[in-house]
Amino acid sequence: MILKKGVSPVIATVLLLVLTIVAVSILAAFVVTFVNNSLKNSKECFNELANIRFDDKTGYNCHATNDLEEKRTGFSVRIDGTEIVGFQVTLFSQGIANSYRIEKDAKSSLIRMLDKNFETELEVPDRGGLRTYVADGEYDRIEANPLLRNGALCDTGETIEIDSCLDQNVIDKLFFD
Amino acid sequence: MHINMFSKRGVSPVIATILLIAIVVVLAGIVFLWARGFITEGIQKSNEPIERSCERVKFKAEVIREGSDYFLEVNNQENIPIYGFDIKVLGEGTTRVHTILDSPIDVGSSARTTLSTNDIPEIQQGVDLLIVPILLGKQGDTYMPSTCPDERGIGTTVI
Repeated sequence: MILKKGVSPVIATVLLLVLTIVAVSILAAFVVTFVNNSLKNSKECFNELANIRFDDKTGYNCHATNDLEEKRTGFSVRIDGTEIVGFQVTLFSQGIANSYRIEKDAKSSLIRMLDKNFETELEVPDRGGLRTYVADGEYDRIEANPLLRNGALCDTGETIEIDSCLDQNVIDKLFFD
Repeated sequence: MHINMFSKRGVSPVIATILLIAIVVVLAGIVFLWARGFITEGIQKSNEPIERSCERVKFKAEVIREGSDYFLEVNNQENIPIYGFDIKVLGEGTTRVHTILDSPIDVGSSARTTLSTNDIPEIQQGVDLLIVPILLGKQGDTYMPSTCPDERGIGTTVI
């Protein structure tokens, strides 16, 4: 048995090297593609992270209740990125959260444009533009997550804490419907 | 068969070190080339970030009505050519943006551009506008328009 010859150390080494390279190549083909796809959305979301925000200057980021005990919450959203085609807004109230997608021409019975009725087309601001929305109900926190042109919904977005409205003109606008 | 384990020779420490360094360098190179694709290059103008050029832009602008037509009159007062403008119509809780790119204004010159009511339906006397300059920069080898921040814009009312 001892006299039986196996492959020479050189051939064995070469074989091991070839096997390793082939195995790594096959693994890399799958892993690199998978990681690239996973990172693509993250990268695009990261680029657009600062391109959606609530605009405090309008004075509409607030909630109010009228004499009929109806409640409304306003929020103004500014978009600065070209890849953002909409956003998901999450409305928080006393530990309960509900999410709604705001896209071009979408309609909602709970969210309307400032100067339009519920169940009419919603608008999404163009790059550098701003729109104010009114939600039916009183919410204490609102989060907006960008919806990108490639269909990806970003996990991270902008959040704002909502206080009571003080300006009567703003309150009137929130209840104009 | 007797094998003397201690007589077997491996690679010398020098060769082993060189091999290790070579492997590390090659791996680092592969990772760098792969990761470079995830870093976005900023837009440059005159060998500086375009934001710096925006800080130095200086111009006068107003929108006037003559008959039924509206005109944007701009005078570029700084040595940075202006490629175009974002005209932002400021409404109640709303800002609508209209981009004008077909009227570049050279250093020190003035220009008058017709604003079509088809392009800017909201335009009328008394409307508040914010006119924000757009500069032309380079991203890699590609020319790219870049809008300056709102703070670099000029607020005006249509007269």
